[in-house]
Amino acid sequence: MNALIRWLAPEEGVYNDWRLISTTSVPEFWIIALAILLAIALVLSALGASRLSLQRRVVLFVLRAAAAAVVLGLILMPAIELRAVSKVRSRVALLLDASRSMDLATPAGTRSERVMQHLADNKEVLDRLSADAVIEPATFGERLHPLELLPATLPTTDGKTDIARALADIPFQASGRDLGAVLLYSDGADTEGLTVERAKEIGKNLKIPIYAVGFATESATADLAIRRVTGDDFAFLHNSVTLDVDLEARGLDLKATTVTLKRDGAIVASKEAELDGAGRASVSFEFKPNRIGRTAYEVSVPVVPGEAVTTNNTRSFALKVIRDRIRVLQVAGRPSWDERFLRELLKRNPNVDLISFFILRSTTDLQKASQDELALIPFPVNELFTKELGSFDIVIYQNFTYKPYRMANYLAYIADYVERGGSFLMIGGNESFEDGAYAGTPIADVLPVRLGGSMPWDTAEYRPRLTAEGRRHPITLVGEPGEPPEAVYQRLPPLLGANTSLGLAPGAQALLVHPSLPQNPPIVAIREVGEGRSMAVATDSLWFWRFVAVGDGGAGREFDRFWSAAMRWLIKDPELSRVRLSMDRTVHTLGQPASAEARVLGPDYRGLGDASVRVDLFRAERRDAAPERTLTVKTGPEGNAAIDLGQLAPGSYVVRATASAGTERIGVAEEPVIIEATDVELMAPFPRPEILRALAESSGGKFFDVGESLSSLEIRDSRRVEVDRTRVVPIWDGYPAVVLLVALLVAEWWIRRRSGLL
Amino acid sequence: MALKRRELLLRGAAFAGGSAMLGSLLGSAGASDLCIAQLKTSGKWNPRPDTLRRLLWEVAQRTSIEVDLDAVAMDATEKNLFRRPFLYLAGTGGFGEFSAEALQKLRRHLTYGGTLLIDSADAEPGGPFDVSVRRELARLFPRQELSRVPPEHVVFKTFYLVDQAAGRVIRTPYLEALEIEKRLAILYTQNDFGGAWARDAFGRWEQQCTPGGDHQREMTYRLGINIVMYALCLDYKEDLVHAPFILKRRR
Repeated sequence: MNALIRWLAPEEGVYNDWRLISTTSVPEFWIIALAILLAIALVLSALGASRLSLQRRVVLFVLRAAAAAVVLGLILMPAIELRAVSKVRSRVALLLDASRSMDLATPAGTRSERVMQHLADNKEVLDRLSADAVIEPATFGERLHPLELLPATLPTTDGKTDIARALADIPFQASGRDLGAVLLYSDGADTEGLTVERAKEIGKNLKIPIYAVGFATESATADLAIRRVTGDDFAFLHNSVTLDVDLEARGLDLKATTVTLKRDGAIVASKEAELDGAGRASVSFEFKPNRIGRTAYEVSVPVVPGEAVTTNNTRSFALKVIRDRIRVLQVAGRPSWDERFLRELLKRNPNVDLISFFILRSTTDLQKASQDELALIPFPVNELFTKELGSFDIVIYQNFTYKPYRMANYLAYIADYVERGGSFLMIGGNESFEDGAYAGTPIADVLPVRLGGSMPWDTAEYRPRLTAEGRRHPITLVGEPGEPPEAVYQRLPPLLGANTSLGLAPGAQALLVHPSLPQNPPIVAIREVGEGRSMAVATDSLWFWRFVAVGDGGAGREFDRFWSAAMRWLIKDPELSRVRLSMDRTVHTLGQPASAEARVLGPDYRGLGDASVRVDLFRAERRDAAPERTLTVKTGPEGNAAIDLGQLAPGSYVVRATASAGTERIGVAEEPVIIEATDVELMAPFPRPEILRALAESSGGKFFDVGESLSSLEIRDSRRVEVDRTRVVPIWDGYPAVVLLVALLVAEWWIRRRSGLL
Repeated sequence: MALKRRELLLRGAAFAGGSAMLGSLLGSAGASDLCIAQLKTSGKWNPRPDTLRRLLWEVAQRTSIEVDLDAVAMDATEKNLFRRPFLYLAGTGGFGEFSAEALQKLRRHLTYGGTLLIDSADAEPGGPFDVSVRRELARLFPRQELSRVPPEHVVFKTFYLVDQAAGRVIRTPYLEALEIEKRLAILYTQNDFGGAWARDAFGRWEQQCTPGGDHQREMTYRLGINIVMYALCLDYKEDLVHAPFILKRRR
């Protein structure tokens, strides 16, 4: 090849390649047509000379074929193109992990220092490499950051490590050069969930060898860390939640540790975790949240002396608890219209899971049938009021006395249930309240009315009167929009019968009172008790609002509204609250400022402007103590107020917003906020050479320990070439070809003539 | 069986005394107690006076329901109709149409939760009372019809486990009903429940029950108590917690 080039272009010396080309401008179609015609002519010529001797036939055929070739050659105009070509160097992406975990110490300096030392130690290899490839340095953490030059020291400020993204961000072609290899320096401590399997897939799909340098032989950073907490970020009230906690310990002589789960600073559960040979352990916690809304939880392990990072011994998260269906237990002392219309209303509500128990037959009733002929079941007192009690959102005693059923011992459970967040409703009748012998029992301690006198069940007809609280409370605002509250109770049918009492219990509110009995005993009263709520409806004639009202021309909606609002108040439905608080986010990383927005609503549930909101910040475990900080804001015209809490120290907090307008206290709302002590980089700071090894081996590259030399590093040849210069040398120079053609045709003519064909 | 005079007097005294005592124990009717209103028609609407008292007496004796023994007779147009969610309509022979106002009130009463028990004292399917009833029901609820209550319906197990729709006679071995929003708002028997319940002032049964005699009468009381219980508790016995017990007893 070189000889041909030297012969054709002896004086130039720049060409190092050649190829055969056609310089004709005749369209391809005509060239093919010509070739076909020439072939036909050849065949006809051969047939025409059939009577000649073989020797002469061969000679004639060769002469004709040569002539055809010359004709074709004249048409195609072949030429030799001389070329000066050069190969393009490929690229090598040199990726340096610049995340915070690279700042952790090893016996021979920090990880980043060891990387820079490795680069310095392998300078010769890298210099050799740069002859065949362009080395493009870049740092990476959460993102890839290309560099002009290698830095003198490696910065370690990035708060995340996303190896997959860094590899995906490398351009495969840049400046006309292909990517030939990746040289990756990292501790492998990916924070974005990169697994070994996924790393293998990435390496395989990359189709470019990855040479990874990591920390395989380092004696591990001494650390015990909560590597991962897995669970749903929302749960249903009273339904089991499972939380899985993964731990990892390295460089510590640790066989077991205690994992503690806390809620608002209070311990929920503790478990012992035994670490396996690899220093890993997993524990699961199962618990049932008993409060709706967002709650801050914390999982922690004790700090072991000598740990490199202590902030990853604790992990906080927020769990949002929502209600599935409201579970209501309705216990009625006997079938009645009051029970019937309430049951019908609750059964119609798809959000209510109603469990009813009605005493259909008392101990003194006649039995005129055998047990098999009755559809009656035993009243499961023990099961309902011990094991199952906590599963109910609301417990209703409707004209029910406990005495015939020997339930005295169970009343304390109900009181405790309310204190711990349950809701209890007592509805009246001649076997309820005082008449039900509840005075002096634990139930009396949680009721909103005081019992203890011998007040009879009053049978007179009356129209209950709204109190000042009742005029504002959603339970007793049952009228049509815009209707004055008092007018509603004047147009509703009068009630019949009332359980009298000594008045309100401490902390209770009366919403409706008897208009004429002495001291106007409450007919409807409510009370917050511990974590729970209780309500008293001291009559069994509320069903008049549902049915008798229809006879008066109404639609009975007031009954529905009353009970719907009562149920929602009892379960602390956030939608009923007139004060709402929302955080910008529940979990903040250290240094992120926290902010919130409070919204205050008026009695008509529209935004209330110029309301005063006092914001208190408590440590979650000390929410009953003095707040750590207090500030006051005012709502704007739409009822919203922005709250800036700034940067907070690590920990779990509760933000409480208390709203008031003038002298009226509107309500309170609370939300948790968590400030993580550490960023995600230091959650699990252990080197993960297995990730780097997986990337390297699946991509056809190699893994090197940071103590190993890079001498076996190889880069794939570039496939790209550049043509810098060309020169065309025609093969047929016109006249010689024509002369040759003529000579061939003459020779054929002479032989044909001699043979007698012409 | 002919009773001796002394026995008759004793029984009558016992009922009267017991009734009075029960009445005094019950006191005046509470707002939520069971009070039944008996509807008046233009025909013979009270063929069995006192039959409701008999039924209510048994309800009070056998169940925990508090009752007002005195059923009140009223027109469907009366204001206090809605104080009594349970209505009873009985009769012999045909009766005239309800007025438009009465129909409207009855319609509202039954649509918003009321229950009406219709009891044919004639026990004559296709007879004048039956014709009148069906005519009025068609005017009351033109788009709905009476249909047979299936034997597995909860009304047959609200208190007693009842296998048949009895009465004084068994002309139709089923109950008919008209449903409103899955609730039996109207129940109709052509077997003369009242005839089975009725006693005279001396406590003697007014009518014989055929063919089943006293057993049939007891079944009629049981179904009457079930119907009252159904009006007060609706589908309570359909709640899952009751199912295993009822299934076991029905085997």
